[in-house]
Amino acid sequence: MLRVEGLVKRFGDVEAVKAVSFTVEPGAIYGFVGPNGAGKTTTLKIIATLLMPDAGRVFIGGTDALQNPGEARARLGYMPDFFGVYDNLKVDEYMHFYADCYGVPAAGRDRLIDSLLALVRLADKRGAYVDELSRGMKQRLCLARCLVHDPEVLILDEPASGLDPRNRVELREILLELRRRGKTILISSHILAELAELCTHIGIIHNGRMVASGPVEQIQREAGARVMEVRLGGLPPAGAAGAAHRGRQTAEAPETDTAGPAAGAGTAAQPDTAGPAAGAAMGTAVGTAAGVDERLAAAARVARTVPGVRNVTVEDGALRVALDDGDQAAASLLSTLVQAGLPVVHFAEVKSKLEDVFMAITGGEEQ
Amino acid sequence: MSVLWGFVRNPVLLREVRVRMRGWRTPGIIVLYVGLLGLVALLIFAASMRGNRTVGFAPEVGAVIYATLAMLQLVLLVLAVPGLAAGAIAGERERQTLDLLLVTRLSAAQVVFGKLLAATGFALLLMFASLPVFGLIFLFGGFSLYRLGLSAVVYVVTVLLLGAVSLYFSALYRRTQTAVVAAYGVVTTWILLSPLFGALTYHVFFDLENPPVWGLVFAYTNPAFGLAAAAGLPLSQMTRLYSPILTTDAAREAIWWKYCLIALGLMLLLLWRTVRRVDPLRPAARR
Ligand SMILES: Nc1ncnc2c1ncn2[C@@H]1O[C@H](COP(=O)(O)OP(=O)(O)OP(=O)(O)O)[C@@H](O)[C@H]1O
Ligand SMILES: [Mg+2]
Repeated sequence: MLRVEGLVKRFGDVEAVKAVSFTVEPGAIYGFVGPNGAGKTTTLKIIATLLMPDAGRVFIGGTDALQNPGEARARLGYMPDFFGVYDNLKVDEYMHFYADCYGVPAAGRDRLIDSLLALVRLADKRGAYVDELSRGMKQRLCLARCLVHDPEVLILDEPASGLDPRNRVELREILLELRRRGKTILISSHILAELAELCTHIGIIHNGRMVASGPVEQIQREAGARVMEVRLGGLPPAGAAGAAHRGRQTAEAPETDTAGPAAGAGTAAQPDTAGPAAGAAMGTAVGTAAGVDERLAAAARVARTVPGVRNVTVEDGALRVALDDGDQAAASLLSTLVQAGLPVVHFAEVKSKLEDVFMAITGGEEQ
Repeated sequence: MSVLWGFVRNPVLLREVRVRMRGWRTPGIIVLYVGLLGLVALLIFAASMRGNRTVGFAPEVGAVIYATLAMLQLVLLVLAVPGLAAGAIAGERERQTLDLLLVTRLSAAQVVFGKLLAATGFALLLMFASLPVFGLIFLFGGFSLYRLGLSAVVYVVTVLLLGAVSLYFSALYRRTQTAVVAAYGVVTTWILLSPLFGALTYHVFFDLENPPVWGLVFAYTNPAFGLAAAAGLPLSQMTRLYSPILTTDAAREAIWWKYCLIALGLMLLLLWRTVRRVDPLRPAARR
């Protein structure tokens, strides 16, 4: 349905996209993942005929998008990462305007717009001014806008950014519904977990290069990363201090999470600082927490020096270390940690989450 | 045929018209504009009544009022158009709506054309709204409807040219502010300075016996002289500035249509460059 061949795009000296190729099958939801600056937006803009590549070709269905942009534009709906709306325009006028721009026939247009607004749950906002909608509503409106000409392919650049968890769930449901209606969807994000449950296929881009592309399970297999969970003595297991356990929702900033559990259970280790720590429910900068953080950070630093280690993250008071396949790396990781005088009490292989795969592949440069 | 229809029934234009017609701003500006012209006409008339009573309704007074209003209208249009047009494309870019427009089936040419009509349409509306005022002065006599018609042609051409200049800067610069400043700067500088260059060329630096032909650039590209030639006496006295080379009345009168032709050519060239800048798949586009 969508085929990209050898895209290259340079901005001055920066080579933003380097020979990117991938294929999206009809009916697939293809997740396009990469850290900030990887080249996702650049690639999607080229596909959307908004940017001329220095080399490479894009096919949408059978249409060569760069040779025949008019036809390609009719077949695809594009939602940019950042977009604006006009002042002084109401929601239904906004939809009519873009329907005009796409040359949607006037007959049945009202019904079409009604059904699209219902799909994105904005039916009751028909008469509202678009610039007064909330961010999440604007995002959904933009999605309805790019469906107005019934495109076969949707190109969505970080459609979930800036949405709260509830809106994200809603967005996911809308996308699944669109898939049921036969759309092929290309969606980008820098958070893989966001896409993991939604996508049928994943492509990972890093520094302008495709490092993996294929069905979700295949990516997980091919990445071949092995993840070891390491815990240090004197630290509680994840979830021990239940109330403060905000672990996985905030995976973007995992290190601050260790403060919560540590504040509750750190009393045994350092009783003198336990008082203020227990009082600070959302405690971050308290003494104990800082000590725990420091110890984990030290362990992470040591782990990173071990050959075969691809990436280290700190999550829920434990280290998650992504390793090359094979026992060699795991063995030397353990011995190095122990030799560094760190009280390792737990060292076990865990099922690699897609997030770990992503981190392993991209080297986790976001940290 | 359908291509033509696409240009006429332009969504970009329709949206701007709809938004601009919302509320009281547009009718308010029209009333203000016509009121200003009417007030100036009244002041001149009142001044002419003070000395000799019989002069009041004479054709000479009509001619003076007409000349003043014609020039004043040109000044107002020159001041209005860059403000209306220079933000058109840069504003869409700044508001991050341009990409949304360019991925639709509208061609870059349709987008630019819609913007041109939307921006200049309002200025043209002001111009046509002023016609009743000119109709009243016509009761005095002192000028012909033919002259009024020629002036209208010069106004329309000028508004389109200034619109194209402003759109060009709007496509050239990322920021609306830069585009607006550049458009005003270039337009007003040229209109104010080119008579000066013309005067220097024909009356100071060059041999009066043998004036340089290229100096006519200053005559044929300035809307003020185009209007002066079109509007007839007394405004056409202005064109005597170029009398060393345009020695006959007919040659000076011809300034108006030569100006119009050159302006339309320039407009097409600028629009073409603008479309190339806006079209994302053209190598000239810098995005
Ligand atoms: N218009 C531009 N001019 C110059 N450099 C650019 C331009 N657009 C992108 N780049 C560069 O290209 C690279 C890729 O940028 P791109 O926006 O495609 O990344 P991304 O994967 O979308 O990142 P993010 O997750 O932050 O949105 C970056 O190094 C960026 O600085
Ligand atoms: Mg991006």
